[in-house]
Amino acid sequence: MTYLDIERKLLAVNSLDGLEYKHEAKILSLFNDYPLESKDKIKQYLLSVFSESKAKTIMLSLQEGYIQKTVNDLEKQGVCAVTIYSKNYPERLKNIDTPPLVLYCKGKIELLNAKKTFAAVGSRKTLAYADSLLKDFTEKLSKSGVVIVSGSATGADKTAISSALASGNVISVLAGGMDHIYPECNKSLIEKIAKNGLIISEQPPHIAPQFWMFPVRNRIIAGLGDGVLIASGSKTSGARHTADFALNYGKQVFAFPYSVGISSGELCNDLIKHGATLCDDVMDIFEELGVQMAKEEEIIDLDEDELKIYQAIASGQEDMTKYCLENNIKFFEIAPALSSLEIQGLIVKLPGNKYKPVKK
Amino acid sequence: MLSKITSYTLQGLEGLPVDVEVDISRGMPKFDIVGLPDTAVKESKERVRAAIKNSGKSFPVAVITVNLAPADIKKEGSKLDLAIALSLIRATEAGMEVPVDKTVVLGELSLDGAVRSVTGVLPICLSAKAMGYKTVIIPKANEEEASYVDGIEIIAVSNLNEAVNYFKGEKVTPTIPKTFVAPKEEEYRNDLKYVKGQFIAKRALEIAVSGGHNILMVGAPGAGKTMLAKCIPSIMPDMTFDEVLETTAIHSVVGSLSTQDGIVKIRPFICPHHTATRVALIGGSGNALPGLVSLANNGVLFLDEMPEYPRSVLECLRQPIEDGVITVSRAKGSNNYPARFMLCASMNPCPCGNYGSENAECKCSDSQIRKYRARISGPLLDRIDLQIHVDNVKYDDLVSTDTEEPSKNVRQRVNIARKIQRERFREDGIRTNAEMGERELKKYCQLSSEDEQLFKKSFEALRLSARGRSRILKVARTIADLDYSEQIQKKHLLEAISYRSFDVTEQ
Repeated sequence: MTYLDIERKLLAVNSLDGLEYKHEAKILSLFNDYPLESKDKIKQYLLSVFSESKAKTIMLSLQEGYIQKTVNDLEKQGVCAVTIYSKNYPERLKNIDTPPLVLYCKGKIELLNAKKTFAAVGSRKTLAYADSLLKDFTEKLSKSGVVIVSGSATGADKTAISSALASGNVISVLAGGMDHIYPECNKSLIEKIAKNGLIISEQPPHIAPQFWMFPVRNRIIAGLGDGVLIASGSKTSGARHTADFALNYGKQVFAFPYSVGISSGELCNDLIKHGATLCDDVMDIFEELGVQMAKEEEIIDLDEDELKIYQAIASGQEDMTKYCLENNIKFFEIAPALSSLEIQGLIVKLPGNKYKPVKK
Repeated sequence: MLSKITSYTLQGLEGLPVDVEVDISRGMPKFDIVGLPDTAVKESKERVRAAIKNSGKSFPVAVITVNLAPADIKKEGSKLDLAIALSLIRATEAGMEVPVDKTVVLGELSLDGAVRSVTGVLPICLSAKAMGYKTVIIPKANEEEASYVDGIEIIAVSNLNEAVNYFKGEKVTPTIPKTFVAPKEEEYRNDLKYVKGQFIAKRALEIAVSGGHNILMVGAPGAGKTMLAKCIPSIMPDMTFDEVLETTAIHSVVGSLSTQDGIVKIRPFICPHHTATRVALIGGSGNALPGLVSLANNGVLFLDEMPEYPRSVLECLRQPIEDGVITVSRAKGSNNYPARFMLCASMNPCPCGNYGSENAECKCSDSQIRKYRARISGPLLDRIDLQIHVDNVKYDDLVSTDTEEPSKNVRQRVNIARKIQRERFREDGIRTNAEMGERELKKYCQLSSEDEQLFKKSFEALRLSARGRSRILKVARTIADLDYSEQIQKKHLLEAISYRSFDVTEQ
């Protein structure tokens, strides 16, 4: 990977810990505006905003030795840096108000400029039925060539990226650097995505994730997606940031509807109340994106028992204990049918031996 | 004068005859016990002296030496009191002519000469019978327990004088041997007919008991997990007399038998508190006594709120679950105790108990939930075939007057399923489906190629973990047995799949 001169300098400055975006942007503009005397200008600027020692550190990072080391380190780790000057830099992000200066990438960088993208996020606590709807949606979208953009947390994010993994159309945006995958338990999944899809981060690899990085990261998710689906979230969920960013960027926001009183769905209902699109069918998203759904050959063959139970569940009978009581049958007589429906992805089991239909 | 009477001591569950020899000679009065007595035996000096005096007899003023042979084995407890006193009286008093060489004497003395109950009477009687002794003299309070040993004469005495009179030739009616009768329905303290609703959990319990599977119940606080667990003994297969004897022997050794019943008729239900130590659970202390896992032998070990137990304690259970026996080794020797129990555990889905609930909000963080579940290790979970969710019962269900199926009916089905398994595994050296290893799984759990496809698909669709495979197969085998089916059919497999709660190992 060869970088332009200004890109190399940017990578060096960016690799420093704790430099604010506005300062980096200013340094860059100085490079741009005064190519010949940039060093003096930068020093002047740095001394005006930082202490002398910090300014010195930053100046040192602009020496050729350090720059070379930074670039070499990235190469060694197999990380490809896409800077704002690169031709690979996604157009979608250029249009947001604080475009990330560098995207550290691992995987298929061509996904950054995919024709169609879609962001799907939610909270870590996602009810089983929302989870399986999300799985269904993201599977269908990614199979039809839409690149799914999401985070890396457990819960909804994990569902979104893991179900899109098979098709390889997936971008997972990390909050911290790539050496510090968070949460640890998703490490193997994220590594698979780095192989088959793409993981990106605004932070250089050695930076550990910190609280403030997560909302900042969400602007990249919102910016990269052509639309955003909020699958779940409580009132204070971080998914709200993603939704707000998306609205600011003029993207369509979709949200799953929830019953009143379910805490993990408060955010979605609130968004719908304020104008987000109620999303209960994956076709809503396909229409918005203008993409044709890839045809799947799926034969659904239900026997008599299965059909009866599916109809009961689809008509709102969730509690199977009650169903047994009312129809005077033993649970073990319907257990096979329930499992079979579940395996075919038509229903999903909730805690408390309740079942919900999943729309096909 | 010299006299000798045989008594018994216990090593683990094995009885060991002890010859109590008394020698009386002239000299400065003293009373010594030699032959490795422990504190309780040494103290018997005072009890013996007072008991003899208070029974209206004179205590010899002489040099008294009591030897407990064999001298190299540590003697424990107060069982030897009566033998020492009788031997002493026999050495001084005339008229005790009944031969004593085929008689065993057990009993603790009270200061007034009454004979008190002792521990371990049943295993001692069994051992005495095997060693060829003809008569056992036991405390009256232990009569029930000993009466189930056939083929040896049992004489129950309530005080020292009665025992002396017996040796003087007075006619005493021996205890009439009893035969074991299965407990009546009323004797089970819990019955499934009092548990309202919970069909799924009840069915899962039936399967678990039929196949000898361990079971984990996951559910919110107050869902009724403990109540269900307490019913397990009432649906477990009828106890055979051998099982009764084996269980009673262990309970007898630790002295936890009820004097009224005398034996353990109903399968034990042992529920250790989560602060129980490893020694309490596994067994130990200086004398290498059996622990709670052995007390649960042939019954149920119930771990309520399993993640609250220290990990080190839980990991101790792996070996007894696998082998059905536990070896307790201490400085004074090691003892083997049987520990074939059904493990039943319960837990909340998360520390606050509301995870996954639709209406109540779970206040636990992601990492809290993960940590909570991680307290139970994967290898231990692998040994728990059934993991089910127990849901809250609604008020309407609680007050409904519908009659529920009584435990008796369930037990009948369980008995049949167990019989099928016994016949199938006759040559494999195992007894239940839960004990099947890879070899038996291959042999008895063949799926048709169509079902194999379905099984494979279910793993992808339901995100099951790979280690769940053999668990589901074993459960499917039991369901097929309950259905009298030779082959595991599609419906059995599908039902087995439906009894998974969230996969605790998922993350």
